[in-house]
Parts: sequence; structure tokens; C-alpha cells
Amino acid sequence: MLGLRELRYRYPGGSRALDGVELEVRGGQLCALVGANGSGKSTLLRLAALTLRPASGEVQLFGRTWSSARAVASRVAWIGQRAALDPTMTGTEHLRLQAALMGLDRRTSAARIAALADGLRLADAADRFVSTYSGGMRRRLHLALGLVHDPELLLLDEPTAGLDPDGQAAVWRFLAERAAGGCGLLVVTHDLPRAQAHADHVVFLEAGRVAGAGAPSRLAAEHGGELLAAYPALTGRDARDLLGRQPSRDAGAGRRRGRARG
Amino acid sequence: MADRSVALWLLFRRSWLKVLRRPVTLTFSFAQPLVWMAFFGFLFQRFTDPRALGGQDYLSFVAPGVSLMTVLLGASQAGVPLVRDDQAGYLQRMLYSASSPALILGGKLLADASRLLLQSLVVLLLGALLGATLGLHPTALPLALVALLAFAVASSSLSCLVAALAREPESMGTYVHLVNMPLLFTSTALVPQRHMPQWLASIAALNPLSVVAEYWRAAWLGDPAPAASTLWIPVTLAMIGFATASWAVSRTLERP
Repeated sequence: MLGLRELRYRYPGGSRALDGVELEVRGGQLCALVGANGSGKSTLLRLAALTLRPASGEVQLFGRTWSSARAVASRVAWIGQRAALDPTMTGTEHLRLQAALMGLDRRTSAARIAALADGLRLADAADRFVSTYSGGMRRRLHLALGLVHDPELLLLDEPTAGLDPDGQAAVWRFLAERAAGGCGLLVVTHDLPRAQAHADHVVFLEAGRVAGAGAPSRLAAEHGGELLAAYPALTGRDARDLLGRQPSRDAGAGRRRGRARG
Repeated sequence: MADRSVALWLLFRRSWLKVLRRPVTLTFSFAQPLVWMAFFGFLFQRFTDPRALGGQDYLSFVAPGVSLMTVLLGASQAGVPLVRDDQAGYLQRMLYSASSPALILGGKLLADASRLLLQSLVVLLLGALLGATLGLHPTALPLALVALLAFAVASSSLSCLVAALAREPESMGTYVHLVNMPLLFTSTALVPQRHMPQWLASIAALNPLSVVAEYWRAAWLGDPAPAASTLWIPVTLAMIGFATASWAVSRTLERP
């Protein structure tokens, strides 16, 4: 479904964001993309969604290259890190508009909206203004907007950020169900235990390069049974860097002079 | 797959609902025209020559012009919600879809143009309540409506173009001040061409707001209707404005 070949990208200031990334996501596969802040995860996701153009390399979606994001948007969900919503609209209004923009007919739209509202626990609040939503509800509505057209490939940037533990577990279960249904998923996350529990494949990104990749069970087995131990062994970082504290390696100082992303 | 008209309708509805749910801006949009007509309308009544105004008093002359001023001021703010959508990431959410940027912008501009038309009619009503002598001239109305709506789309598009390129509310403030006053005061919206010095009259003749003002006055004062041949000016500006604004909006999705 998604193939990234020798992907390179530089930020507008000239600093390197991605350097020769190779990555594959197949249908039915949940791939977790893990890395510290600034490692290039969000940039990689935008390149995969075709909302950024690489300096070199190739992005293949469904076995071919595409001229624009819009050309492939009806088959892909790109769900960014921020809950991108309009506080003056209700949840239902958001979902109806997004379904119409995706070209769904009224009947399909109504069925999908009802299913997503149920699946993401939004049904009771669907007719309330988004300004009254909690942070977790906004994240779930944001996720629902990306899924309303039933995409084949999901590109998600930290979909559980800001959710309580129950909410996180529910979203991971929801994503695993999507993978079981045949969707391909590339999920940016800092949550190694959840990635170990739900992902079929894990990619560690460090300073714009793939530092390690494989099935979580294999990576864990090679590093004492825990994926949390594989991360520092493969990236040279402290696993606590994933929790958002200042990166521990001096070697990372140069790349962190660029814009903090990912 | 459904007709795109559903998406267009929902976008149109969204823009209207945003205004109605926060009616403060709409309410205050009538304050400036009201003040203009109440103070300047009566003040200039003493200094203007009715012969230069086609035999009308100044308040009657200026009421259609002030209603156009409302369109100009309202249209120049059209980019502000676009900046908000952009900053919230919601514009990108809408753009990452099967619908074209032109459709997404088109729904908003249709709502803006219809709202501005309604606002201009309310201002005319306020003018009539203050004493302006207005009467509808149905034969002149169709061209006047086309001119006004085209001007509303052109001005709103320009505001959206600036919003999509600048992407910050501060730039919108600068744009509003930079464009509105020169455009207004070099037009015949508030002052008849015969009262202007020659250099200003020459500029006013080229100002699209003057063209629309002539059509609008023909509909409400019974002034001689301008030749339909000048209608291409606001219509062409609307088409160019819409095309360039759609291009600028589409670029926001792929900007680093």
C-alpha cells in the first residue's frame, strides 16, 4: 500500500529532516513509527500523505506514484497531530461536511457517521458544539473525520496523545481492528508498550534515518524481551527521550538546531 | 458518489452559521454606515449642489454608496475566518479530500456574497428610515445585482488571497486599512464625480467601486443606467479573484 524509497527531505532552512528512508506498509499491517522529538516522524508522515514533496526519492501509494495529495485523498486518511476542528461547529456538522467533501452519498454518509460516533464514543456528544468538548473528545472526533470515507491506508500522527489510559487503549484497539479488516496503518507513536502489543511492525527513526525495524516480537526477543530495551540499543538514545524530555545524546545537537518536528 | 452540490451547500451553510452563531460582527457592521449617514449625510446636505446629484438631496445620493461601503468593508474581512481555519489546521483537513479547493472556497464566497447583499439592503433600509428618498427601479435591478454580487466576490476573493498567502491575522488588519480607504475615497460611492477635482475624477472613472455604484444608484434612485458594457469590469475581477484565491488556498495544503 505504501512504499517509501530512498526518501530525502530538507526543511526550508536547509537542515536535514530525512535521509534515505526506506519503508513499506502492506494491507492489514499496523506499522508503528517510533522516534524522539525532531527525528522526522511527522515529516515522514506528511511525505507519505503527499502534502510535502521530497527532495529526492519516491513515495508509492497503492503501487504507483501520484501527482497530488487530492488525487489519492479518497483512499488515504492523513490524521495530523493537532485536533484540527472548528469550535463553532457541532461534531455531527464536522462529520457531515467531511463526508460530503469526500463525495459520499447521504445514506453512506449517515451510516458511517453513526458507526464512527459509536466506535469512538462520540454518539452522546455529537450534537454539541466542539467548544464544549474535552481534549480527548476532540482527538476522537479528529480521528473520526479522517476515517469517515473508510480509507484503505491510515497515516496517523500520535493519535492517542492527550488521551487518558482508557481512551488510549480504546483507540489502539480500534486501530488494530482496522488492520484486521485489511487496512494498512502507519502510526507515529512514543508509546512502546502499546506498539509492542498492537503493531505488526515497528520502525525506529533517529535523526532522519531508519535506525532499526522489524516485528516487535523479534526486536524485543533480541533485546531481553522488551521493545523498550531495543530502542536505546538501536538508536543510541535513552528510552526516556520518547517521553518528551530533552534528548540525551550530544550527537543530536546538530540536527536539533533545525526546526523541531516529529 | 454524491453530487458536489451537497458539499457546496454544507460549506455555504457553515459560513452562514458561523456568522449567526457569533452575531456581534454582523451587528457592528451596521454601526459605521449608520454613523456615516446620520452625521455626514446631513452635514454634507448643506454643501452639496443638488444639480450635481441629479436633483437629489445628499442623504438620498449617499445611501446606496454607503450600502456599497458596507459591502467593501465586509468583503475585506472575508479572509479572517480562512486564517482561523488555517491556523487551526481545519483548512488542511477540508483540503485533504476529494473536493477541489475551488469548491471549498466557492461555498464560502457564495455565503459571503449573499450575506453582503443582505447587509447592503439593510443599510438601504436604515437610510430610508433616516429620510433618504429611495425607490426600487425594477428594470435596473438585475444588472445592479450582478454588479454588486460580482464586486462582493471579487473583494472577498482578494481578501482570501491575502489570507492564504500571509496566513496571519495581523496581515489581514494591514490589508484592510491599506485597501479599503483608498478604494472608497477614489470612487463615486460617496461623492459625485462632478464634485471631484479632475485628477480624482479620472481615477474614480477607473475604480470598479464607481462602476458598481453607478449600477446600484440606477436601481435605487432611478439614475440613468450605465451601459451594460461596463459590467465586464466587476465580473472579470470576480473571475480572476476567485481563480487566484483558489490557487493560493490549494497551496496551503502542501506548504512546509
